[in-house]
Amino acid sequence: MKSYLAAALMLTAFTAQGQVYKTSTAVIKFNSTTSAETIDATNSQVTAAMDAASGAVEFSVPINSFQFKKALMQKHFQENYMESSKYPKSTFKGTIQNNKAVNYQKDGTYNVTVKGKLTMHGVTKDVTIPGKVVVSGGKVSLKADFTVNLDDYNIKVPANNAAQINKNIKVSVDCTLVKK
Amino acid sequence: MQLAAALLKIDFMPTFQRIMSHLIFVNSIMKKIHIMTLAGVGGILLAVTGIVAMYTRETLGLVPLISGLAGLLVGMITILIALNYFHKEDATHPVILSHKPTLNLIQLVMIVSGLAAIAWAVFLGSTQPGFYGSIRNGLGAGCMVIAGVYFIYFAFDVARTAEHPGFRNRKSILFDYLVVFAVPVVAAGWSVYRLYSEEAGTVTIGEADFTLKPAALIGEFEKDAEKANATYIGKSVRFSSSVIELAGDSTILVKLNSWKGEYTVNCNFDKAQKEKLASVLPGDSLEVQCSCSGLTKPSEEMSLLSESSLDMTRCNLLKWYKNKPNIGTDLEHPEGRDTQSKK
Repeated sequence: MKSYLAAALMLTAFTAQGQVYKTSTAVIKFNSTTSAETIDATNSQVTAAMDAASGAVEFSVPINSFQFKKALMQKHFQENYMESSKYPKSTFKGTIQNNKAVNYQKDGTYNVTVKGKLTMHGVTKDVTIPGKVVVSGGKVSLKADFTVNLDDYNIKVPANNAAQINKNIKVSVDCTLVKK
Repeated sequence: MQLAAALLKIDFMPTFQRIMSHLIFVNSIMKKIHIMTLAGVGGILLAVTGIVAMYTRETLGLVPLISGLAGLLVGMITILIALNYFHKEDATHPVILSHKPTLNLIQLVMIVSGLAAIAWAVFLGSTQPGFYGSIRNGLGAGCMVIAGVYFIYFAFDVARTAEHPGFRNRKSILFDYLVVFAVPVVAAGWSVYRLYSEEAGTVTIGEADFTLKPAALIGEFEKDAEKANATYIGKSVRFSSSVIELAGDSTILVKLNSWKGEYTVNCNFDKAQKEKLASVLPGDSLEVQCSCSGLTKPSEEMSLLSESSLDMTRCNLLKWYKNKPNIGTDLEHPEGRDTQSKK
């Protein structure tokens, strides 16, 4: 009996561990559009992890890794807006609310809602983000589009740049995680 | 303007007149050298310094500040002169204004434009934190101020020289101002254009800000994270280490040994470097130069992200040591293959 129990526990532990998916090359893009200018940036060095069993999701975004088209905008973003030398990372920790509706063993696209804490520029806010979980060939992709308001995170835009930067930034998440 | 001149006359006349009389005395000795031409030469020197500094990537914080302030000072002095402050008229001192210069519409527009250029330089400095900390910004603003000065003075000078035909003819003065005026304006315009149009690099090039082993860099972050963030984040670091694995599709992630505990060094290369990295295998060693993005450590709050890593971005592959996994330790290493040469 004890040996069966031990085996069952080991199997459970193995299964639970096997349901963690990770990547170090998740992609996050953001876009700011005004009549004066459109600004796009991409970060391909985002670390993401997800526990399929519990629906827990975590992201760590190195701010210095955002790549812009224009050097001046990249410099302003790093040094003045996000102050990357003080706040080098942005993080998100949350849970997929309807995780039980996702079948990680079957290929498909599942609409989900993720609720959690987004920390940016030293400020943490509760957020609820709609997204998709795509299961394909043993890999899990997370996709989401949402908006972030700069004022909510104390990100100051100088008056002479106000016309070029929309305070509501569109953020797009796209990552493919593999089982670890 | 007469009211302003009258007010200024009451408050500042003795000191300013003394200063200006010295400058005028100098001008009388060097009769062909305008005081404004001297200012123009100064502006050209500032612009040339800025151009050289831009290419050498020097970061001289005091120089742009001085250039901007010098430009403002010159502008202020010239505006005072233009306000008919000194009420002196002398055919041998063309810097002195006549009593009542007659201004037409074009000259008024030039004065307004000149004031706008000076105001813009002040506005940029006061609204953008650290604006004058950039040598380009400072020199661009300084040149705008000097250009503004010339607009204002040029407007008045044309009116005055018409009243003193015996000293210099109008065309030679126009040419004089055009030459010394055009260079700062062109330099300012080019500086601003370069500033706003330069594309962000995807590869860290030039001389590295720091050359140190990954283990030492990680040690700095562990010792004092706040200080290390301020010192290293966004700065270029050059180091060597051995390859653990390669991954990624839109960009290339190369994990290197940190030789410090559980940490790996995650080096992110732009896809344009795919060809350079095509033959790199685990067990090889690389010498790279990257921009530091900081340390990732697992924490109680972020327990799923269990990997500890030193994150590097915009990496540039400098040397490749095939089948030499000990590079980056304390062992000396032989010459590696320069990735710039043909294989």
